[in-house]
Amino acid sequence: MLERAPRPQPAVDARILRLLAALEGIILGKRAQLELALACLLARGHLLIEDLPGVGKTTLAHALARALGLQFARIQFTSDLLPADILGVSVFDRSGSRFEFHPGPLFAQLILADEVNRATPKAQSALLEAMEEHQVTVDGVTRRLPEPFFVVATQNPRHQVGTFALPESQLDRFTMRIELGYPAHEAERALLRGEDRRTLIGALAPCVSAADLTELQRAVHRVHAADPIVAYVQALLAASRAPGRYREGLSPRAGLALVRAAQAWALLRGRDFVVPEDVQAVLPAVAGHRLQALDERASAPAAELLQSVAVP
Amino acid sequence: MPRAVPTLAPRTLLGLLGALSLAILPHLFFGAPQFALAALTAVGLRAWLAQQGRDRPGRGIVAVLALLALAAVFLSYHRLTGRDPGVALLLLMTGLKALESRTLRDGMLASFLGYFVVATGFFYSQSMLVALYLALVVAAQTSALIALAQGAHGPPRGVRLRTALLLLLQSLPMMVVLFVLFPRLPSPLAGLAQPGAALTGLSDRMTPGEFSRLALSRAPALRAVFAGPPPPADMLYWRGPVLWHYDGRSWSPGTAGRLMPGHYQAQGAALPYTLLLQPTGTPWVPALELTAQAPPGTRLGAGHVLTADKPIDRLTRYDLAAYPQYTLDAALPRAERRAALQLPPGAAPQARALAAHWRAAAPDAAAVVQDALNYIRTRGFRYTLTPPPLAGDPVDDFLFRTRAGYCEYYAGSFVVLMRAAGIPARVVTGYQGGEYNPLGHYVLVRQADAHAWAEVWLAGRGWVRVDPTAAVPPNRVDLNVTDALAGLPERGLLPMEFAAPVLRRLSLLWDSANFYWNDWVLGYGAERQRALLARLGLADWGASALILGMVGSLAALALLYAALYAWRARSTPAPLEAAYARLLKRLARRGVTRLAHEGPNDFIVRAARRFPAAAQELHAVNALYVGARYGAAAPTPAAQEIERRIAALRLDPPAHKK
Repeated sequence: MLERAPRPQPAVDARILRLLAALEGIILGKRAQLELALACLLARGHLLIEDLPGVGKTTLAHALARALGLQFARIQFTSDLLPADILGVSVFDRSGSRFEFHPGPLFAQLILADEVNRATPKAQSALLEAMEEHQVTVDGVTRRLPEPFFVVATQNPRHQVGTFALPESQLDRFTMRIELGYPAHEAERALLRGEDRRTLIGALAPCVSAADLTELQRAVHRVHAADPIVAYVQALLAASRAPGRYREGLSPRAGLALVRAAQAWALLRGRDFVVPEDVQAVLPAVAGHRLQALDERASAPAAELLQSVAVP
Repeated sequence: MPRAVPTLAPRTLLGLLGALSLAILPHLFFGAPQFALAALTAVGLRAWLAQQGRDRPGRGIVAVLALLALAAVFLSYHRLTGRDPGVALLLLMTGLKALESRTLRDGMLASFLGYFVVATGFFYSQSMLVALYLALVVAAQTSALIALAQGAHGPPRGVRLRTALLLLLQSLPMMVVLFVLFPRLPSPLAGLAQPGAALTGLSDRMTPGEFSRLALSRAPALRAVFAGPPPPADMLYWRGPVLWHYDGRSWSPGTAGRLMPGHYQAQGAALPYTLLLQPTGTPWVPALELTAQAPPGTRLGAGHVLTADKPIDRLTRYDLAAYPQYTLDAALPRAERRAALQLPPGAAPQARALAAHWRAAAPDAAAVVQDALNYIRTRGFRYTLTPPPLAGDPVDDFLFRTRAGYCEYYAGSFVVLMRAAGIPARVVTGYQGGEYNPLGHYVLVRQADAHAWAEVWLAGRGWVRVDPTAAVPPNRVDLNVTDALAGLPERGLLPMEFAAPVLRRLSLLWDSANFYWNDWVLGYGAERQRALLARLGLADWGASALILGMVGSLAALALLYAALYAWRARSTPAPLEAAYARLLKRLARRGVTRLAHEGPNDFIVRAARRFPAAAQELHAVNALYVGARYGAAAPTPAAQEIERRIAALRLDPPAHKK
């Protein structure tokens, strides 16, 4: 986050402020990550949270669901998880003499796919297809998933044992990847002294209605991205595709995600148009998991990308 | 007023009035100063009213004033046409239009009148300085016109002036095309030339006091461009009127009109040169001695004086050749001899006695000439521009009592002495010497170089030039009047500028600029146009072909500009970006540079931290820019607003970190 001079900020939608306040009550001292997560969901994107176990990934996903008033389902990914365990199965109903579909946990509005990289690629792809299409096909019948549909996946760092790293094509489906990190000293103390997070989440009342959420998502679409902003995003994409920098450049989908996320970020700032800083603010989260520097020593490919492109 | 007529904003009106005043101002020194003053008063009155927040005077008052103006012009000139009455009328009406200006339409009309006022300035002076001033006035007028056209929300004055100057610059090629190709009239526009008015120069009468007035005039008389190095100063005798007749007091050509031109025999090599003559209102062409052939439009008259067919009323250019070695009138016709020996009866008895004494003792005429020169050299004669007054017979009083005077005293007395000794002699007036301008490679002859010398006719040699003044102070002939006077007590009479070498150099520079202006701009007449076109291979172009060529060139220029404009429109930033770029430039100059990858909001936070006093304004300007560039609103008004606020922005020195 950039430091801002104290001056009148444009009016931010009260619902957004309420949401952020509620989430901050649960996840302490992680304002930036909360904003990114919220922006991601308002942009109708899926969120990947990558971090060590126990830093609050699950809590964040759960709190998001509660605050947004969404139907929540959690899928714990394990190495023996089968696609059917996610999607659901058709069971023969004797009395009706026909197959009846028993929807799996995927049929919820906010899915927490916990430790998604512990599952086999087969199970992963079942989830990821659903993420893209917002629908699943079981036994030749296509079924719509509920709206809105969010996937918040958590993943342990790749070097941990027993993980199947998500391939690039799968990673690309997540609009953002964020890292939570250890809490700050003060925040951790408050966490240790405070009430159990689970209790707090249970007590958390929805801050927005389903209609509010839809409206906010529509508002994101209406945020104006002027020609210079589109040009800026294109310049960033082009720079990422320049030979010799990254293993693979950013996809058009990544570009679209960048624009949407920047629009959502602008809405979070109370603006009805995107400024270059919005793009810059969301770029590390949007591009971080899609870019792999060819130079192994490079630590922050997204930041490096930003530095190399002039703001038009 | 119920009608929705666009009125002038006070700022716009004041700008217009200022430009009008600048246009009227030079007329205070031209043909109709009293009317220029009246017009200025009207403009000033309107400005005062505007500043008081008051409206224009009523239409009735203005109508009465207009009638009064008409009457005043008519009473002054007894007509309403012609140069001076026309200009006076234009000035007054411009002033009154300015006085009654309220609406945009009034302003436009007054502005166009202002352009006409500028043009009329050239009726009176075409000097480089005036042209330069009037060009600047055109820029001011155009700036005011832009303000009129763009209304109260137009760009600030600096931007407008820049645009106006740019427009002026862009019109320069068109001006050159018009100047070069426009068919030249063989004579100036009727009624524009006013011969004889306020011109100084040679006269065909030589009376005491006249040359001293010229000697103080720094005004240029002529300039001469030599192909090679200029001849030495003691060869530079510029021959003007030859005076034959002496009436006991003053010299005049007398019956010279009836005399025949002399017989001329050139010796040695010719010295070609170009003479640029300032307007004098007289027909004399002071050419270097001695001209072999009269150029077109001139003739050689009695005493081998070159005269133009008409009085010279504008800068005129002659291509001449001089033969420094010559024989003039090897045989002297009787009429000439009589005229060259004329003396009024009873004049200068002492001088006659002296001459007779010399004549009796001398073997030939040349010896008498030497006797006279020796007399001047050895009897304490003094050169001064403020000689003591002469009493009684002027020649005798000068030769035997005062012995102080300037060239005409010496030349006149010398000729009287010669004639008394029976030697045909005459006075020649003109200019002597001149200042070589190494910057322009020409010789400048000023009015101060006016001179008078003598010619005596010696058997077998013809007319021989004798400069008796040269016998007095030896440096009189070698140097020009200014230098000669520098060591004399009368120095205080001369302007300061002669003293300082730096100023002198500047004055040389200024004169060469004027020389080129005269030579290339004012001297570009029908003759030179023809020559230039011939050099371009267009010798047989008539006036209609010239006009066609002119129109064609202008159309080509217009197309070129259109193409340039289209190209620039694609390659230059829109006004908004340009305005923002100016803000960045200002901040960068104060040490806060925006990084290429830095967003505008991040940057302005950084800049505001450096300039805390301007922080609020910086944020406001930035918000305007960001809103216009990235928002959905139209960017143009914001660009102008940003432009204005950037211009007003004060950046105090950056706060130093401890």
